[in-house]
Amino acid sequence: MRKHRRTRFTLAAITFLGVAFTFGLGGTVFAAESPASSSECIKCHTDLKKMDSYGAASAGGAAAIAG
Amino acid sequence: MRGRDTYGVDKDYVDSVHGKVGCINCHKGKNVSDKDKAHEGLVKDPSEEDGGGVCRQCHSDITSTYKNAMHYNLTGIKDIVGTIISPHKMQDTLLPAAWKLDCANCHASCGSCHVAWPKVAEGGLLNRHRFEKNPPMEKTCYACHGSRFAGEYMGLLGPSPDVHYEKYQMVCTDCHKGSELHHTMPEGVKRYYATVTPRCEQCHPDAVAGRSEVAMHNAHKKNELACTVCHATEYFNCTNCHVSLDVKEAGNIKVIFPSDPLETFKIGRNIDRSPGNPYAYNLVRHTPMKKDSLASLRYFQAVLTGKPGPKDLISNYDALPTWNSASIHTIQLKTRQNSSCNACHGHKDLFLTKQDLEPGDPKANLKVIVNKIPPRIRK
Repeated sequence: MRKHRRTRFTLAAITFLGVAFTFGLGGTVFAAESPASSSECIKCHTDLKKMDSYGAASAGGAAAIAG
Repeated sequence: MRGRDTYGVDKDYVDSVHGKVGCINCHKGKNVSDKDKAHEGLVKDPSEEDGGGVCRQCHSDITSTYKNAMHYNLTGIKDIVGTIISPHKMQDTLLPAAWKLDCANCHASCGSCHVAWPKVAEGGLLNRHRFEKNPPMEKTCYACHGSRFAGEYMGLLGPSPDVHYEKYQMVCTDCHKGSELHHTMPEGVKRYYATVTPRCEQCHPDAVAGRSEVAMHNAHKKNELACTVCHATEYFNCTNCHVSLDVKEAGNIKVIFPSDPLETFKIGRNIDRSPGNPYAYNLVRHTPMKKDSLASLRYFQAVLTGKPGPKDLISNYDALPTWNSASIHTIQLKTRQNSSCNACHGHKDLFLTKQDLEPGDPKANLKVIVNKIPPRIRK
């Protein structure tokens, strides 16, 4: 009985620590990192299939008048 | 072209020297998943400002000279336009607006050669954002110089490509080195006054008049004929060019150039001999210009500002010729005119004469025409 209670306590503590880390200290650390990081830009721009959905900007090497 | 070719970044790029800098450090914007929010404050071309932008941080040796280089500030065009509209001032006309709308599209930032297509080709990444130390000429040089130099060099205009390309696959930067493109010397000069420019004799020293094994090279005095006079084939020109605004679609104003293309071969007098162009005779190309080329700007100025521009915008039209010395890029070893002495001598059609001029041409063209065609050689 005592053992079962200890397990429940341990599980609750782990869950609490997880939540605290995600929304607390850990969240703060990630939030502080995000302006300097480019992870979201990279995730999107290296997804070539996704980039195709934005279509063509028609870079086609049209000859200009400059000579 | 697919969206990936325009905006797609290669995964390998992220681990490269430039990739490790991080997108936001150069392009600004925000590191969030929502596209619109991520692109708030985005700087599309971070290399644009003052001839280098963010590139200055590591490449100051290049950017310190590039901000004054011809490819960045387009000195040549500004100089010509300023001369032919004199005594009017650019700021009293629509020209600065037209400059921003169109001319400036051909000015090159670091990124528009080394990372993306130039603005005039409507952008897009060259190679998944990889930095190209040697810009691919068919995408970068051609985008701005396609209607003449690069187009004729690759055989996309005119009867044949240049032998340096056709036979040896040479690219623009094989002759036009970075030192020339990044640094115009002396500062602020026009094209032919730059001291660091490629010269044929650098690779062909045996072709110099007076010390050549080729009799025809020695038959002409040093600096009498440009190499192209004998070794170029026909080339492309634009005549009757008009600058106008295409405003068919609201909010999308385009500058257009209706003109008549013309393929010619014309030898003319060089009225502006300089270190980079010391020859008495050169091939001449028609500049896309007419006396009333910019006439429509007066109308648009009235519509846009409520006050028409000067009636005689190109009031100093006579000052500069519309047939100008040209660096033709259609070189061949054997050409129609160099097959024998008399393939050129006595052939009036090869020379720019009074008959080639149009009514209303600038008076300066009279200085370029050849009055005396070299006679046929009897012996």
